[in-house]
Amino acid sequence: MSTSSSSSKKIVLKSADNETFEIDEIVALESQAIKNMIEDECADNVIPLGNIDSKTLSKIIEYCKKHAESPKKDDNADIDEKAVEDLKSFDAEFAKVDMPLIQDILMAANFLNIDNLIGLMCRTIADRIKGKTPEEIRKILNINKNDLLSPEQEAKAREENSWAFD
Amino acid sequence: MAELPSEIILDILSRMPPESLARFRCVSKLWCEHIDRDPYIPIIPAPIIMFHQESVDPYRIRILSLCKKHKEYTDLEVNKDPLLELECPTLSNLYPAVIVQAIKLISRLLSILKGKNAGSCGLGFDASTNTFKMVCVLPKKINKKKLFTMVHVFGTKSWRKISQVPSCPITGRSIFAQGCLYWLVVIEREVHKYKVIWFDVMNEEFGSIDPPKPLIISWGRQDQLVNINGEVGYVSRDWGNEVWVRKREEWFIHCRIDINPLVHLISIRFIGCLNKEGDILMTARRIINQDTIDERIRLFVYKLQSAVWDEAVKIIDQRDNEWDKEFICI
Repeated sequence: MSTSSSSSKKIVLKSADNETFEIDEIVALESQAIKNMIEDECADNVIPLGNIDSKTLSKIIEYCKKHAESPKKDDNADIDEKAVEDLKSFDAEFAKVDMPLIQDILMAANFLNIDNLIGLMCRTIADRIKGKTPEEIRKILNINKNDLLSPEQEAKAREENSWAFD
Repeated sequence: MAELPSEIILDILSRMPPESLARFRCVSKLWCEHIDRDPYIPIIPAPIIMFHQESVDPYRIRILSLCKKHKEYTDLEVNKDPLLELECPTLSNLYPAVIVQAIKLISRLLSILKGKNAGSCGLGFDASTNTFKMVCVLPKKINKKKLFTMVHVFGTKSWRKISQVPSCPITGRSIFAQGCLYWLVVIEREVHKYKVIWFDVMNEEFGSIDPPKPLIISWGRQDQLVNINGEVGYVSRDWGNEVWVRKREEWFIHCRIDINPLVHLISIRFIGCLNKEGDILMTARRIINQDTIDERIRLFVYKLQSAVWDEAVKIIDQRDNEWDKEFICI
Protein backbone atom coordinates (compact mmCIF):
# COMPACT_ATOMS: atom_id res chain seq x y z
CA MET A 1 0.00 0.00 0.00
CA SER A 2 1.32 3.35 -0.90
CA THR A 3 -0.74 6.00 0.75
CA SER A 4 0.95 9.22 1.63
CA SER A 5 0.61 9.71 5.32
CA SER A 6 0.27 13.50 5.12
CA SER A 7 -2.78 13.46 2.85
CA SER A 8 -4.83 11.34 5.23
CA LYS A 9 -3.90 13.22 8.39
CA LYS A 10 -6.89 14.85 10.04
CA ILE A 11 -7.23 18.19 11.77
CA VAL A 12 -10.12 19.14 14.01
CA LEU A 13 -11.39 22.73 14.13
CA LYS A 14 -13.70 23.92 16.89
CA SER A 15 -16.01 26.86 16.35
CA ALA A 16 -17.01 29.55 18.87
CA ASP A 17 -20.28 27.71 19.49
CA ASN A 18 -18.36 24.50 20.27
CA GLU A 19 -19.10 22.62 17.09
CA THR A 20 -16.21 20.46 15.84
CA PHE A 21 -15.23 19.93 12.20
CA GLU A 22 -12.85 17.14 11.20
CA ILE A 23 -11.04 17.92 7.96
CA ASP A 24 -8.06 16.65 5.98
CA GLU A 25 -4.85 18.43 6.84
CA ILE A 26 -4.42 19.39 3.18
CA VAL A 27 -7.68 21.36 3.40
CA ALA A 28 -6.60 23.10 6.60
CA LEU A 29 -3.31 24.09 4.96
CA GLU A 30 -5.22 26.51 2.70
CA SER A 31 -5.11 28.71 5.80
CA GLN A 32 -1.66 30.25 6.17
CA ALA A 33 -2.32 30.75 9.90
CA ILE A 34 -3.12 27.07 10.51
CA LYS A 35 -0.21 26.04 8.29
CA ASN A 36 2.13 28.08 10.48
CA MET A 37 0.67 26.53 13.62
CA ILE A 38 1.17 23.02 12.25
CA GLU A 39 4.70 23.77 11.08
CA ASP A 40 5.59 25.25 14.46
CA GLU A 41 4.02 22.17 16.02
CA CYS A 42 1.90 24.25 18.30
CA ALA A 43 -1.37 22.80 17.02
CA ASP A 44 -3.01 20.26 19.31
CA ASN A 45 -5.43 17.70 17.99
CA VAL A 46 -8.14 20.29 18.19
CA ILE A 47 -7.68 23.88 17.04
CA PRO A 48 -10.12 26.19 18.82
CA LEU A 49 -11.38 29.13 16.78
CA GLY A 50 -13.04 31.24 19.44
CA ASN A 51 -14.05 34.09 17.13
CA ILE A 52 -15.62 32.09 14.28
CA ASP A 53 -19.14 30.67 14.55
CA SER A 54 -20.10 27.31 13.04
CA LYS A 55 -22.11 28.79 10.16
CA THR A 56 -19.13 30.85 9.00
CA LEU A 57 -16.65 28.06 9.65
CA SER A 58 -18.57 25.52 7.58
CA LYS A 59 -18.61 27.99 4.64
CA ILE A 60 -14.86 28.49 5.00
CA ILE A 61 -14.25 24.74 5.04
CA GLU A 62 -16.41 24.35 1.93
CA TYR A 63 -14.21 26.93 0.19
CA CYS A 64 -10.91 25.42 1.35
CA LYS A 65 -11.97 21.89 0.35
CA LYS A 66 -12.76 23.00 -3.18
CA HIS A 67 -9.57 25.00 -3.53
CA ALA A 68 -7.40 22.27 -2.01
CA GLU A 69 -8.79 19.77 -4.53
CA SER A 70 -8.20 22.02 -7.52
CA PRO A 71 -4.85 21.96 -9.29
CA LYS A 72 -2.72 24.91 -8.22
CA LYS A 73 -1.61 27.44 -10.80
CA ASP A 74 2.04 27.12 -9.83
CA ASP A 75 2.04 23.40 -10.59
CA ASN A 76 2.63 24.91 -14.04
CA ALA A 77 2.36 21.61 -16.05
CA ASP A 78 -0.73 22.15 -18.20
CA ILE A 79 -2.98 24.72 -16.65
CA ASP A 80 -6.23 22.90 -17.08
CA GLU A 81 -8.61 25.52 -18.44
CA LYS A 82 -11.64 23.52 -17.45
CA ALA A 83 -10.47 23.36 -13.84
CA VAL A 84 -9.87 27.11 -13.82
CA GLU A 85 -13.37 27.74 -15.19
CA ASP A 86 -14.83 25.30 -12.69
CA LEU A 87 -13.14 27.09 -9.81
CA LYS A 88 -14.33 30.46 -11.12
CA SER A 89 -17.95 29.34 -11.22
CA PHE A 90 -17.58 27.79 -7.76
CA ASP A 91 -16.29 31.14 -6.43
CA ALA A 92 -19.18 33.00 -8.08
CA GLU A 93 -21.73 30.64 -6.50
CA PHE A 94 -19.93 30.73 -3.17
CA ALA A 95 -20.19 34.52 -2.98
CA LYS A 96 -23.97 34.49 -3.44
CA VAL A 97 -24.76 34.99 0.25
CA ASP A 98 -26.05 37.95 2.25
CA MET A 99 -23.84 40.84 3.29
CA PRO A 100 -23.57 40.01 7.02
CA LEU A 101 -22.29 36.51 6.18
CA ILE A 102 -19.88 37.90 3.55
CA GLN A 103 -18.42 40.14 6.23
CA ASP A 104 -18.21 37.31 8.76
CA ILE A 105 -16.42 35.15 6.19
CA LEU A 106 -14.10 38.03 5.36
CA MET A 107 -13.19 38.63 9.02
CA ALA A 108 -12.59 34.90 9.54
CA ALA A 109 -10.57 34.58 6.31
CA ASN A 110 -8.50 37.54 7.46
CA PHE A 111 -7.90 35.88 10.84
CA LEU A 112 -7.06 32.52 9.24
CA ASN A 113 -5.02 34.25 6.55
CA ILE A 114 -6.59 32.70 3.44
CA ASP A 115 -5.48 35.08 0.68
CA ASN A 116 -7.73 33.95 -2.18
CA LEU A 117 -10.81 34.05 0.00
CA ILE A 118 -9.99 37.55 1.29
CA GLY A 119 -9.67 38.68 -2.31
CA LEU A 120 -12.93 37.05 -3.33
CA MET A 121 -14.86 38.61 -0.45
CA CYS A 122 -13.35 42.09 -0.97
CA ARG A 123 -14.22 41.91 -4.66
CA THR A 124 -17.76 40.86 -3.81
CA ILE A 125 -18.23 43.70 -1.33
CA ALA A 126 -16.75 46.24 -3.78
CA ASP A 127 -19.14 45.09 -6.52
CA ARG A 128 -22.14 45.29 -4.24
CA ILE A 129 -21.49 48.68 -2.70
CA LYS A 130 -20.01 50.69 -5.55
CA GLY A 131 -23.37 52.17 -6.57
CA LYS A 132 -24.58 52.93 -3.03
CA THR A 133 -24.84 56.22 -1.17
CA PRO A 134 -22.58 57.02 1.79
CA GLU A 135 -25.56 56.56 4.17
CA GLU A 136 -26.21 53.07 2.81
CA ILE A 137 -22.53 52.16 3.12
CA ARG A 138 -22.48 53.20 6.78
CA LYS A 139 -25.43 50.93 7.47
CA ILE A 140 -24.25 47.96 5.41
CA LEU A 141 -20.70 47.96 6.72
CA ASN A 142 -21.58 48.96 10.25
CA ILE A 143 -19.30 51.99 10.27
CA ASN A 144 -18.36 53.23 13.74
CA LYS A 145 -20.55 56.25 14.58
CA ASN A 146 -17.64 57.93 16.37
CA ASP A 147 -15.67 57.98 13.13
CA LEU A 148 -18.11 60.06 11.10
CA LEU A 149 -17.10 63.39 9.59
CA SER A 150 -18.49 66.51 11.24
CA PRO A 151 -21.48 68.04 9.41
CA GLU A 152 -19.18 70.80 8.10
CA GLN A 153 -16.55 68.34 6.87
CA GLU A 154 -19.22 66.21 5.24
CA ALA A 155 -20.77 69.20 3.49
CA LYS A 156 -17.33 70.16 2.20
CA ALA A 157 -16.59 66.62 0.97
CA ARG A 158 -19.95 66.55 -0.81
CA GLU A 159 -19.36 69.87 -2.48
CA GLU A 160 -15.87 68.93 -3.62
CA ASN A 161 -17.15 65.75 -5.17
CA SER A 162 -20.60 66.89 -6.19
CA TRP A 163 -20.09 65.47 -9.70
CA ALA A 164 -20.20 61.96 -8.26
CA PHE A 165 -23.50 62.41 -6.46
CA ASP A 166 -26.09 62.72 -9.21
CA MET B 1 -20.82 42.37 13.86
CA ALA B 2 -17.43 44.01 14.20
CA GLU B 3 -16.12 46.74 11.92
CA LEU B 4 -13.81 45.65 9.13
CA PRO B 5 -10.12 46.28 9.80
CA SER B 6 -8.29 49.06 8.05
CA GLU B 7 -6.25 46.90 5.64
CA ILE B 8 -9.46 45.21 4.47
CA ILE B 9 -11.16 48.56 3.85
CA LEU B 10 -8.14 49.56 1.77
CA ASP B 11 -8.38 46.32 -0.22
CA ILE B 12 -12.08 46.96 -0.94
CA LEU B 13 -11.47 50.60 -1.89
CA SER B 14 -8.69 49.67 -4.29
CA ARG B 15 -11.29 47.75 -6.30
CA MET B 16 -13.67 50.70 -6.66
CA PRO B 17 -14.21 52.89 -9.70
CA PRO B 18 -13.16 56.56 -9.29
CA GLU B 19 -16.73 57.86 -9.18
CA SER B 20 -17.65 55.67 -6.18
CA LEU B 21 -14.48 56.75 -4.40
CA ALA B 22 -15.29 60.41 -4.91
CA ARG B 23 -18.67 59.78 -3.28
CA PHE B 24 -17.32 57.60 -0.46
CA ARG B 25 -14.99 60.26 0.89
CA CYS B 26 -17.81 61.23 3.23
CA VAL B 27 -18.57 57.73 4.58
CA SER B 28 -16.22 58.15 7.55
CA LYS B 29 -12.95 59.74 8.62
CA LEU B 30 -11.08 56.48 8.02
CA TRP B 31 -12.47 56.10 4.50
CA CYS B 32 -11.71 59.72 3.67
CA GLU B 33 -8.18 59.29 4.97
CA HIS B 34 -7.62 56.17 2.86
CA ILE B 35 -9.07 57.66 -0.30
CA ASP B 36 -7.12 60.91 0.01
CA ARG B 37 -3.79 59.50 1.09
CA ASP B 38 -3.27 56.22 -0.70
CA PRO B 39 -1.47 56.83 -3.99
CA TYR B 40 -2.77 53.62 -5.52
CA ILE B 41 -6.42 54.48 -5.12
CA PRO B 42 -7.28 56.12 -8.41
CA ILE B 43 -9.79 58.81 -7.49
CA ILE B 44 -10.38 61.65 -9.92
CA PRO B 45 -11.41 64.67 -7.86
CA ALA B 46 -13.65 66.08 -10.58
CA PRO B 47 -13.59 66.60 -14.29
CA ILE B 48 -10.78 69.04 -14.91
CA ILE B 49 -9.44 71.34 -17.52
CA MET B 50 -5.75 71.52 -18.09
CA PHE B 51 -3.92 74.51 -19.51
CA HIS B 52 -0.36 74.31 -20.56
CA GLN B 53 2.37 76.49 -21.90
CA GLU B 54 4.67 74.83 -24.33
CA SER B 55 7.23 77.49 -24.95
CA VAL B 56 8.52 78.07 -21.44
CA ASP B 57 11.10 76.09 -19.55
CA PRO B 58 10.42 74.41 -17.21
CA TYR B 59 7.25 73.41 -18.90
CA ARG B 60 4.23 74.52 -16.89
CA ILE B 61 0.80 73.05 -16.44
CA ARG B 62 -2.17 74.56 -14.66
CA ILE B 63 -5.12 72.46 -13.65
CA LEU B 64 -8.57 73.80 -12.92
CA SER B 65 -11.31 71.71 -11.46
CA LEU B 66 -14.66 72.46 -13.09
CA CYS B 67 -16.88 71.26 -10.31
CA LYS B 68 -15.75 73.48 -7.50
CA LYS B 69 -17.69 76.59 -6.73
CA HIS B 70 -14.55 78.37 -5.67
CA LYS B 71 -11.97 77.99 -8.32
CA GLU B 72 -8.89 76.16 -7.26
CA TYR B 73 -5.79 75.97 -9.36
CA THR B 74 -2.91 73.62 -9.13
CA ASP B 75 0.28 74.56 -10.92
CA LEU B 76 2.76 71.92 -11.86
CA GLU B 77 6.19 72.08 -13.38
CA VAL B 78 7.71 69.43 -15.59
CA ASN B 79 11.37 69.53 -16.40
CA LYS B 80 12.54 65.95 -16.75
CA ASP B 81 12.10 63.65 -19.68
CA PRO B 82 8.58 62.30 -19.15
CA LEU B 83 9.41 58.83 -20.38
CA LEU B 84 11.93 58.55 -17.58
CA GLU B 85 9.91 60.40 -15.00
CA LEU B 86 8.01 57.52 -13.53
CA GLU B 87 8.79 57.98 -9.87
CA CYS B 88 5.93 59.39 -7.85
CA PRO B 89 6.32 63.15 -7.89
CA THR B 90 5.46 65.41 -4.99
CA LEU B 91 1.99 64.73 -3.79
CA SER B 92 -0.35 67.61 -4.21
CA ASN B 93 -3.03 67.89 -1.56
CA LEU B 94 -5.63 68.31 -4.20
CA TYR B 95 -4.75 65.56 -6.62
CA PRO B 96 -3.38 62.14 -5.78
CA ALA B 97 0.06 61.29 -7.09
CA VAL B 98 -1.15 59.04 -9.81
CA ILE B 99 -3.27 61.77 -11.39
CA VAL B 100 -0.54 64.37 -11.12
CA GLN B 101 1.89 61.95 -12.70
CA ALA B 102 -0.55 61.08 -15.48
CA ILE B 103 -1.30 64.70 -16.30
CA LYS B 104 2.37 65.64 -16.38
CA LEU B 105 3.24 62.75 -18.61
CA ILE B 106 0.43 63.07 -21.08
CA SER B 107 0.77 66.78 -21.64
CA ARG B 108 4.53 66.61 -22.03
CA LEU B 109 4.41 63.62 -24.35
CA LEU B 110 1.76 65.24 -26.50
CA SER B 111 3.83 68.36 -26.95
CA ILE B 112 6.93 66.34 -27.81
CA LEU B 113 5.03 64.22 -30.30
CA LYS B 114 3.37 67.28 -31.79
CA GLY B 115 6.79 68.77 -32.40
CA LYS B 116 7.92 65.65 -34.20
CA ASN B 117 4.58 65.41 -35.97
CA ALA B 118 4.47 61.68 -35.44
CA GLY B 119 2.75 59.31 -33.10
CA SER B 120 0.38 59.95 -30.24
CA CYS B 121 -0.38 58.88 -26.74
CA GLY B 122 -3.45 58.55 -24.60
CA LEU B 123 -4.46 57.97 -21.02
CA GLY B 124 -7.17 55.44 -20.22
CA PHE B 125 -8.64 53.70 -17.23
CA ASP B 126 -8.80 49.91 -16.99
CA ALA B 127 -11.82 49.13 -14.81
CA SER B 128 -10.96 45.42 -14.55
CA THR B 129 -7.74 46.14 -12.67
CA ASN B 130 -8.60 49.66 -11.46
CA THR B 131 -5.47 51.14 -12.93
CA PHE B 132 -4.61 53.99 -15.27
CA LYS B 133 -2.86 52.89 -18.41
CA MET B 134 -1.01 55.04 -20.83
CA VAL B 135 -0.47 53.96 -24.39
CA CYS B 136 1.97 55.50 -26.79
CA VAL B 137 2.06 54.74 -30.52
CA LEU B 138 5.21 55.83 -32.32
CA PRO B 139 6.79 55.26 -35.71
CA LYS B 140 9.86 53.06 -35.60
CA LYS B 141 11.80 55.65 -37.56
CA ILE B 142 10.87 59.25 -38.28
CA ASN B 143 8.76 59.48 -41.43
CA LYS B 144 8.45 55.70 -41.67
CA LYS B 145 5.13 53.94 -41.67
CA LYS B 146 6.08 51.05 -39.40
CA LEU B 147 4.73 51.58 -35.89
CA PHE B 148 5.26 50.25 -32.42
CA THR B 149 3.13 50.49 -29.29
CA MET B 150 4.23 51.01 -25.70
CA VAL B 151 2.03 50.62 -22.62
CA HIS B 152 2.64 51.98 -19.17
CA VAL B 153 0.56 50.95 -16.18
CA PHE B 154 0.54 53.59 -13.47
CA GLY B 155 1.93 52.26 -10.23
CA THR B 156 4.66 50.37 -12.07
CA LYS B 157 7.87 51.98 -13.19
CA SER B 158 8.33 50.79 -16.72
CA TRP B 159 6.97 50.83 -20.22
CA ARG B 160 6.25 47.60 -22.02
CA LYS B 161 6.11 47.02 -25.72
CA ILE B 162 3.06 45.21 -27.07
CA SER B 163 2.72 43.52 -30.44
CA GLN B 164 -0.57 45.20 -31.43
CA VAL B 165 -0.39 48.32 -33.56
CA PRO B 166 -3.14 50.44 -35.15
CA SER B 167 -3.93 49.90 -38.83
CA CYS B 168 -2.59 53.35 -39.72
CA PRO B 169 -0.37 55.99 -38.08
CA ILE B 170 -2.12 58.17 -35.51
CA THR B 171 -1.38 61.70 -34.40
CA GLY B 172 -2.99 64.31 -32.23
CA ARG B 173 -5.10 63.94 -29.19
CA SER B 174 -7.09 60.96 -28.05
CA ILE B 175 -10.28 60.90 -26.06
CA PHE B 176 -11.21 58.23 -23.54
CA ALA B 177 -14.73 56.81 -23.30
CA GLN B 178 -16.31 53.50 -22.36
CA GLY B 179 -13.02 51.71 -21.69
CA CYS B 180 -11.44 52.72 -25.00
CA LEU B 181 -9.17 55.44 -26.30
CA TYR B 182 -10.19 56.97 -29.63
CA TRP B 183 -8.24 58.88 -32.26
CA LEU B 184 -9.52 60.50 -35.40
CA VAL B 185 -7.26 60.00 -38.39
CA VAL B 186 -7.40 61.39 -41.91
CA ILE B 187 -6.76 58.63 -44.38
CA GLU B 188 -7.20 60.60 -47.58
CA ARG B 189 -6.50 64.24 -47.09
CA GLU B 190 -7.73 65.50 -50.47
CA VAL B 191 -11.26 64.36 -49.84
CA HIS B 192 -11.19 64.50 -46.02
CA LYS B 193 -11.79 60.84 -45.52
CA TYR B 194 -11.75 60.05 -41.82
CA LYS B 195 -11.46 56.94 -39.70
CA VAL B 196 -11.80 56.46 -35.95
CA ILE B 197 -9.10 54.26 -34.43
CA TRP B 198 -9.80 52.77 -31.01
CA PHE B 199 -7.67 51.07 -28.39
CA ASP B 200 -9.35 48.79 -25.85
CA VAL B 201 -7.49 49.67 -22.65
CA MET B 202 -8.32 46.43 -20.82
CA ASN B 203 -7.56 43.97 -23.63
CA GLU B 204 -4.85 46.11 -25.24
CA GLU B 205 -6.22 45.75 -28.75
CA PHE B 206 -6.67 48.20 -31.61
CA GLY B 207 -9.55 48.44 -34.02
CA SER B 208 -11.33 51.00 -36.14
CA ILE B 209 -14.83 52.31 -36.87
CA ASP B 210 -16.25 54.61 -39.48
CA PRO B 211 -17.32 58.11 -38.45
CA PRO B 212 -21.03 58.96 -38.87
CA LYS B 213 -20.22 60.60 -42.21
CA PRO B 214 -16.92 59.16 -43.33
CA LEU B 215 -16.63 60.85 -46.71
CA ILE B 216 -17.72 64.37 -47.45
CA ILE B 217 -15.95 66.68 -49.81
CA SER B 218 -15.92 70.03 -48.17
CA TRP B 219 -13.28 72.68 -48.11
CA GLY B 220 -11.50 73.18 -44.83
CA ARG B 221 -13.51 70.65 -42.96
CA GLN B 222 -11.87 69.66 -39.72
CA ASP B 223 -13.76 67.06 -37.77
CA GLN B 224 -12.85 66.08 -34.22
CA LEU B 225 -13.72 63.67 -31.45
CA VAL B 226 -15.06 64.80 -28.09
CA ASN B 227 -16.13 63.05 -24.91
CA ILE B 228 -19.86 63.60 -24.42
CA ASN B 229 -20.47 62.71 -20.78
CA GLY B 230 -18.63 59.43 -20.93
CA GLU B 231 -19.56 58.45 -24.49
CA VAL B 232 -17.51 58.95 -27.60
CA GLY B 233 -18.71 61.98 -29.54
CA TYR B 234 -17.95 63.12 -33.07
CA VAL B 235 -18.11 66.70 -34.28
CA SER B 236 -18.85 66.90 -37.97
CA ARG B 237 -18.16 70.28 -39.50
CA ASP B 238 -19.72 70.13 -42.94
CA TRP B 239 -22.83 72.15 -42.16
CA GLY B 240 -22.28 74.15 -39.03
CA ASN B 241 -21.36 71.80 -36.25
CA GLU B 242 -23.14 68.52 -35.82
CA VAL B 243 -22.32 66.63 -32.67
CA TRP B 244 -22.86 62.87 -32.85
CA VAL B 245 -22.64 60.42 -30.03
CA ARG B 246 -21.99 56.69 -30.29
CA LYS B 247 -24.28 54.35 -28.36
CA ARG B 248 -24.72 50.62 -28.84
CA GLU B 249 -22.40 50.53 -31.85
CA GLU B 250 -24.30 53.26 -33.71
CA TRP B 251 -23.99 57.01 -34.15
CA PHE B 252 -26.83 59.25 -32.99
CA ILE B 253 -27.13 63.00 -33.38
CA HIS B 254 -26.57 64.76 -30.03
CA CYS B 255 -27.08 68.36 -31.15
CA ARG B 256 -26.58 70.76 -34.05
CA ILE B 257 -24.81 74.00 -33.30
CA ASP B 258 -24.83 76.91 -35.68
CA ILE B 259 -22.05 79.15 -34.48
CA ASN B 260 -20.63 81.48 -37.08
CA PRO B 261 -23.53 83.76 -37.95
CA LEU B 262 -24.10 84.51 -34.28
CA VAL B 263 -20.81 85.07 -32.59
CA HIS B 264 -18.20 85.13 -35.32
CA LEU B 265 -15.81 82.56 -34.01
CA ILE B 266 -13.02 80.69 -35.69
CA SER B 267 -10.56 77.93 -34.67
CA ILE B 268 -13.34 76.23 -32.79
CA ARG B 269 -12.32 73.24 -30.76
CA PHE B 270 -14.72 71.19 -28.66
CA ILE B 271 -13.36 70.35 -25.23
CA GLY B 272 -16.05 68.28 -23.55
CA CYS B 273 -19.21 68.52 -21.50
CA LEU B 274 -19.40 71.00 -18.68
CA ASN B 275 -22.11 69.19 -16.74
CA LYS B 276 -24.53 66.30 -16.76
CA GLU B 277 -27.03 68.33 -18.80
CA GLY B 278 -24.61 68.05 -21.70
CA ASP B 279 -23.72 71.75 -22.07
CA ILE B 280 -20.69 71.85 -24.32
CA LEU B 281 -17.41 73.53 -23.61
CA MET B 282 -15.21 74.76 -26.43
CA THR B 283 -12.35 77.09 -27.22
CA ALA B 284 -12.34 79.54 -30.10
CA ARG B 285 -11.03 82.88 -31.30
CA ARG B 286 -13.28 85.85 -31.94
CA ILE B 287 -13.44 87.64 -35.27
CA ILE B 288 -13.43 91.28 -34.21
CA ASN B 289 -13.99 92.74 -37.67
CA GLN B 290 -13.18 91.93 -41.26
CA ASP B 291 -9.45 92.39 -40.84
CA THR B 292 -8.86 91.59 -37.21
CA ILE B 293 -9.01 88.37 -35.29
CA ASP B 294 -8.58 88.27 -31.55
CA GLU B 295 -5.22 86.70 -30.73
CA ARG B 296 -6.51 85.06 -27.63
CA ILE B 297 -8.13 81.71 -27.50
CA ARG B 298 -11.20 81.98 -25.30
CA LEU B 299 -13.41 79.49 -23.64
CA PHE B 300 -17.12 79.29 -24.54
CA VAL B 301 -20.09 77.30 -23.32
CA TYR B 302 -23.00 76.16 -25.44
CA LYS B 303 -26.14 75.66 -23.34
CA LEU B 304 -28.03 72.76 -24.81
CA GLN B 305 -31.50 73.64 -23.53
CA SER B 306 -31.53 77.30 -24.46
CA ALA B 307 -29.25 76.83 -27.51
CA VAL B 308 -27.23 79.89 -26.45
CA TRP B 309 -23.50 80.53 -26.65
CA ASP B 310 -21.81 82.26 -23.77
CA GLU B 311 -18.28 83.26 -23.22
CA ALA B 312 -17.32 81.34 -20.13
CA VAL B 313 -15.98 84.25 -18.15
CA LYS B 314 -17.39 82.79 -14.99
CA ILE B 315 -15.27 79.71 -15.42
CA ILE B 316 -12.04 81.26 -16.58
CA ASP B 317 -11.09 84.75 -15.53
CA GLN B 318 -8.92 87.26 -17.31
CA ARG B 319 -5.62 86.35 -15.75
CA ASP B 320 -5.86 82.89 -17.27
CA ASN B 321 -5.53 84.33 -20.71
CA GLU B 322 -1.77 84.19 -20.58
CA TRP B 323 -2.23 80.45 -20.28
CA ASP B 324 -4.71 80.00 -23.05
CA LYS B 325 -2.46 78.01 -25.25
CA GLU B 326 -4.39 74.79 -25.03
CA PHE B 327 -7.06 73.12 -23.02
CA ILE B 328 -7.40 69.47 -22.30
CA CYS B 329 -10.37 67.99 -20.57
CA ILE B 330 -9.72 64.77 -18.70
